[in-house]
Amino acid sequence: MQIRMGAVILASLVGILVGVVPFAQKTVSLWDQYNSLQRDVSLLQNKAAILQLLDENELRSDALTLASAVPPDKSLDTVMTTLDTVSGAASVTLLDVSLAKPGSIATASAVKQSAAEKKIGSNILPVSVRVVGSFDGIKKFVSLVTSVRRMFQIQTLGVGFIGDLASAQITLNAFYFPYPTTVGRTLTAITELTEEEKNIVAQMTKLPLASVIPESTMSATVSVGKADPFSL
Amino acid sequence: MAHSEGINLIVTTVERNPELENITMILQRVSYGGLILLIASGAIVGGLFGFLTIQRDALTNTKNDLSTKIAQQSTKEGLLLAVKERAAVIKKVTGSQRQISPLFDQIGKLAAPGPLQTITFDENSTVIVATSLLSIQDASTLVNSLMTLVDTGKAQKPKLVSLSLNKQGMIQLTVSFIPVL
Repeated sequence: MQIRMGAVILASLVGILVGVVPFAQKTVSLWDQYNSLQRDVSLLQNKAAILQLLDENELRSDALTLASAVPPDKSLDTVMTTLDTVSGAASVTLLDVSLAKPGSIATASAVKQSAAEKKIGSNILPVSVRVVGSFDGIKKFVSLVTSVRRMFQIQTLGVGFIGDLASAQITLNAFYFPYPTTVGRTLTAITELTEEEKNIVAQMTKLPLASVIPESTMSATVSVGKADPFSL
Repeated sequence: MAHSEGINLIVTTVERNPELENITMILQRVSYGGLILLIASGAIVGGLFGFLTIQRDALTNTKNDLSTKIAQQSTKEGLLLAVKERAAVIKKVTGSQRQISPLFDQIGKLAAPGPLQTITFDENSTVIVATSLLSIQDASTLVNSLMTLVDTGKAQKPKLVSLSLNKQGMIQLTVSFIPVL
């Protein structure tokens, strides 16, 4: 009887060690998979809900608005047009526009960014401009050129006076930033547009395009680069 | 003949061994316990495994459905990404933007356009103003105006760069300062 009972004990032990324990390990692994899937599904549900609420046309309009401020490529035509129109609105004469690094007209995405570009997070196109006009005209040019939608940043300014006439040499930075070529992985989380981002869009919408600056006598066409980068 | 009682040499009674009985009882309990443990643990683990398998399969289907839906909205996702990235760039640009036009108002307080010869404004926001003035009095007025700008917090680090008299008797005065814009 003791032997029978010993055999039962041994069989129970073997059954637990050989059967239940490995099965339990598989169950633990399955539990980890389940938890991981739950997290993924939660993320995807959130992402799907956000995408569902977004209006594609509104997003496209916002993207185009921001692209007219910081185009996806060098957009030399908008640089020239804007400077031309601003000088007309400021009643100064635009004598010279030169580019520090014209390079390829297309965006050189393989070119390394400088430290200044990395700081801004965008490519920089240095532009040098020479205008001639009155003291007030130069002042107005300097004010307008940083108040239009095509973004410029004044780096240096040099003004020389001969009598009532002023001649200004201004170096500006224009900006360009390529569109993303791929979206993230499906499991990459997204967030809605924040209030700050919406405010930036609203702010850019209020800034005039070069072609609609008051008192402009120049006709201008503004290209915003790819109008529909994601259309087939 | 008298009935004779034989001597039964076969032991018919077993001596009880308490120790052995204890061991047997323990073994019995352990074997029952082991069996119960095996059956119970197997049932629990098996049940849990089955439940989790069903849930995992359901979640996998849900995940696949959601992934398909999201893939169908990749254009929207791309546009959202474009807007967010560009807004971040614009934020940095506008954050580092320098409004230069107030500088002209400050310079206008120093000197009228007539005496002004050159104005330079460099990347470090240092302004250098060169003037050609008729008299020392005008030079003194300009310097006082600059100090007023400093006192009112509209300029910093004023410097007299140069002061000279040219052949025509004009005072060549150059000052520098950092405007507070």
